[in-house]
Amino acid sequence: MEKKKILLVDDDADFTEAVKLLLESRSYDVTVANDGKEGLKKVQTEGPNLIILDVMMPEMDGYQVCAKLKADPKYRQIPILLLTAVGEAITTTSYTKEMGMKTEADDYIPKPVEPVVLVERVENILRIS
Amino acid sequence: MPYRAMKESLNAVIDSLSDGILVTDKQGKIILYNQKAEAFLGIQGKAALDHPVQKHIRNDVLVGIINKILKLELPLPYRAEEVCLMDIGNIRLRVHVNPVRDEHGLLIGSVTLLHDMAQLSAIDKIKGNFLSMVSHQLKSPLSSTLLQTSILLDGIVGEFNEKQRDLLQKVRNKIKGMVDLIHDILDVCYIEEGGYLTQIENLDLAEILQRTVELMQPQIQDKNIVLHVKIEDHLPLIIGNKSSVEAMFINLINNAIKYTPSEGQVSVEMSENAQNVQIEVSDTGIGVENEDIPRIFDKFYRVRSETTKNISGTGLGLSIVKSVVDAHRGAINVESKVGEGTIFTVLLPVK
Repeated sequence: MEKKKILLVDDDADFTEAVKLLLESRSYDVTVANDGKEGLKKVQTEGPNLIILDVMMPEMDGYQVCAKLKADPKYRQIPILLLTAVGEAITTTSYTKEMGMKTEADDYIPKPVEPVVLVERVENILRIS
Repeated sequence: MPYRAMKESLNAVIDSLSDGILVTDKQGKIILYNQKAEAFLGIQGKAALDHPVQKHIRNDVLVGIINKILKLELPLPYRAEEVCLMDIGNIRLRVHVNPVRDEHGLLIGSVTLLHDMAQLSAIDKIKGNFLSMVSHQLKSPLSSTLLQTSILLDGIVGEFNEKQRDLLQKVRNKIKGMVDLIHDILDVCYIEEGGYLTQIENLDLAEILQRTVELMQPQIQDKNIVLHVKIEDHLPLIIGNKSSVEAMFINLINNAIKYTPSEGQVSVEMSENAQNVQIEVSDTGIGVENEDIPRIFDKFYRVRSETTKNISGTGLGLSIVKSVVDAHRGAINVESKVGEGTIFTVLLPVK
């Protein structure tokens, strides 16, 4: 079976390196983009099965990238998993989730994320789509 | 200073306040108010002086609260203040109504303070943004580090010997502790800055508790704790802030689990008690010494002893619980026996 392609968009190189190692160990093909603009470009060139998107990035943030992709009929069916360290703690339930839904992301995970949880969510979302 | 001059300068002072102020006598007759109150309440000049409140104040809720304060019976409660949010016209006001007492503690009238929320909301927004920036700046690097240690421990990039694993596990636990601390600090800020005031709704505590318990299954199973949950049917709704009530449940139950040895029991019971919903969280844990009880709600206070030294925590959990209870005008009580367990009882008023 062909490996599923995941595009990982995050400006923190240490984080993307770790996630890449983790997902590659689970037999996914992982491409990294370091900011939103590069992410949008790589969506076109790589044609990923799933996009993992950090919210807080300089220039174009994750919400903007998500909104752009979901507004484009060519890419709107690619599932997006939002990752965020914003508005954690008490406000998680209302703020972050709401933002995730407003931007039509398919799932959202607060940072820090446990490897088991990340792998599980990725599997789930790829199974549904 | 002659009486008239003194009265004039006092009037000048209260007219210069940025908050509205309105004073009634015991019968509910308006005896004093300032220019801000005129503006907020739409009173023409001094037209309302010597008239009952309901004649010039069009807001039934405010009139109701003032009358409620004036009907307080002796002895007056220590804190009789009523606070609420009110939209009058297009201005959002925070309203405080207090009884006025004479030197013998007898009720002689009421004083109402009207505070324009616009300024406060602006400051809140800046503070909120600042906090989320700080949390992001601290949490992002910690998240990366945490994931890196997880991946090392997972053996994805090669196996470690036992000592290396042990050290790495300790590094990981420390980082996790720091992340917990950031979450707790954000919770404390949110509650204490009055964030709860902006999002108040009817809450079904039974539903919130059930969801919280589900969320906490990992911790419960980790320690093989037996958790009993007993919720009375048809509990009344309370008015409050959902996320802070969730935080209250999480911290109460977490606390019980943490200080209860493996295989122990934790039970949560919720019932109606007079005009309150009563939440009782009891455990078969290590208990608290009597002398420590007054301090357990203090921020960063942790009981230090041989039995607690290996239990990790931020020292903020119970202070979060207390802040939430206070914000909802409830009460909390602790009973404990060392070596047998602890019972926390929370009362949240039904309104």
